[in-house]
Amino acid sequence: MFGTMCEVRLTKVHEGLNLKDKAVLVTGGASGIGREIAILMAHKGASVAILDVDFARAAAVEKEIGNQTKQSLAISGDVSSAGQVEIAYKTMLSEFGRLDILVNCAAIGTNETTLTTTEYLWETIMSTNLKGVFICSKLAVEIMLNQGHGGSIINICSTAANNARVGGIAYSTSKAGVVQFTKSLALEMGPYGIRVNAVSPSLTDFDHGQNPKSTSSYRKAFIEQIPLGRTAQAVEIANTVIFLASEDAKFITGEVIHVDGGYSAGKFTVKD
Amino acid sequence: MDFKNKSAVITGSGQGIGRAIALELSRRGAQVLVCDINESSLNKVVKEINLNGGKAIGIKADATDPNQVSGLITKALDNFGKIDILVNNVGGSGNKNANGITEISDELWDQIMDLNLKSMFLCSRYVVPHMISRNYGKIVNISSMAVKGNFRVRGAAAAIPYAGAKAGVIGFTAQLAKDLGPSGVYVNAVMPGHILNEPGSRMAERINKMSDSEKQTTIQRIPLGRRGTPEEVARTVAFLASDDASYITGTVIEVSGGM
Repeated sequence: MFGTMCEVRLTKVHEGLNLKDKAVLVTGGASGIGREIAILMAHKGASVAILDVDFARAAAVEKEIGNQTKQSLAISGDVSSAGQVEIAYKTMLSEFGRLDILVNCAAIGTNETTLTTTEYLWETIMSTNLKGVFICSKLAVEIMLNQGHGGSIINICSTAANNARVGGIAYSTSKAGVVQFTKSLALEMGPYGIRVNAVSPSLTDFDHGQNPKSTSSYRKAFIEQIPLGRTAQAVEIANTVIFLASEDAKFITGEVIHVDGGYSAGKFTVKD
Repeated sequence: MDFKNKSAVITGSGQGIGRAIALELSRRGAQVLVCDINESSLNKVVKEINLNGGKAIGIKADATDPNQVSGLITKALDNFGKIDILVNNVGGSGNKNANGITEISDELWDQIMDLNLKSMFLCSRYVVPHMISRNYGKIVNISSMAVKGNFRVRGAAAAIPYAGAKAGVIGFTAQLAKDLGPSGVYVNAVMPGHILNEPGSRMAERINKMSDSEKQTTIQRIPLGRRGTPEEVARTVAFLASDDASYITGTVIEVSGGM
């Protein structure tokens, strides 16, 4: 499956989805869905900065993109620290000279119920998943407003935003916050041509293997609820991010696109 | 050319958004069947596509009539050998000015339900067995932001049945997507907001009839500060019909400028 997807990625030609001359920051771009977004955006012609707490892995993505003779830059930083994010943008701007697209992908998952969620864990999740989106977007919007030629922000949300699951209390709450943040910022920024959208994936596999955080019983139960009968590949999430970032989506803002194999369309199936 | 070797049927494609979808899919390599109840407008679109090096055929049909829809799908299969994409675009809010609920006759209600919902049901019913047999298909239904009750279609229009019918499109999309997911057939919807169609089209005429203050009010409620274009809707339809959307089914994308 992954091989097929790569083929789709490399043979796809549609000029509307070209990101030539665009500069992108992908938070959480060192691994998982973020890494796939960074690589695909570079492939579509963008210069890509990868902001991640794991600098070694971010540098590996930079190298991988560099090997395809595309421009990229690994930056070390925590999205929940305004100081570190500010430095990240300065570094990026000094290298690329502009910022056109921000992809907020950095996030952490949990598997704790309310009773087992400590206050510290709650704050950690909210800091990265929600405050991080606020900080990175706020600084991005300041830069984009100064540049004066609009921009695009894409938040990686989750089907967990609309679908409760035992063990997802903090994660679901943070992602529901991302949905409303997306819509609110879109309203504020519409008049300035800055579009703000989100992509909501369900269970997604990446890095040439299964999602490392999913147990086999969880996977099985999840897949049973998905009309397409399989999990997503990270590149499939990335393809939607590219669409939202591109000129093809220039009348779309404040929108959340579910890339979930039909999960949100309905989940209870009676098997005859 | 991401739609090379694909064939598409687009209902109501003689004008407006449907026309733009036919042109966009054709530009990206698909062979298209242009279907409309208005023969002269569909002929114009077919001619436009073929002159630009695309491949289109035109069929006049009433998408609310089962026999005509059955014939339409048969002709598409005879000509193309297969149908990869079905865009259920035909619809509208009628040609009677009936804004209040008491002004809506039984006939008008039925007419608008048929035009927006039954047409989609019939076209899907005749195409789905073929798509299942090939384990491949992309159905894109056109809904409307009217679903949310936050814009009243001015001029000759019946807003209430229209909003109800377009909401029906969403439920139909979700259920059909769920049924057909295991068969490799994808079903999604697009919700356009205020779209300025080409001069002479129904929506263009309606907007023409608005007073300046009405026009202003409409635009003020769109965060991006302008109306959309049919091409912008068409590109989202194309995205959903493409293999880039290989994990998207049963969903709705609003193309509304944020309203």
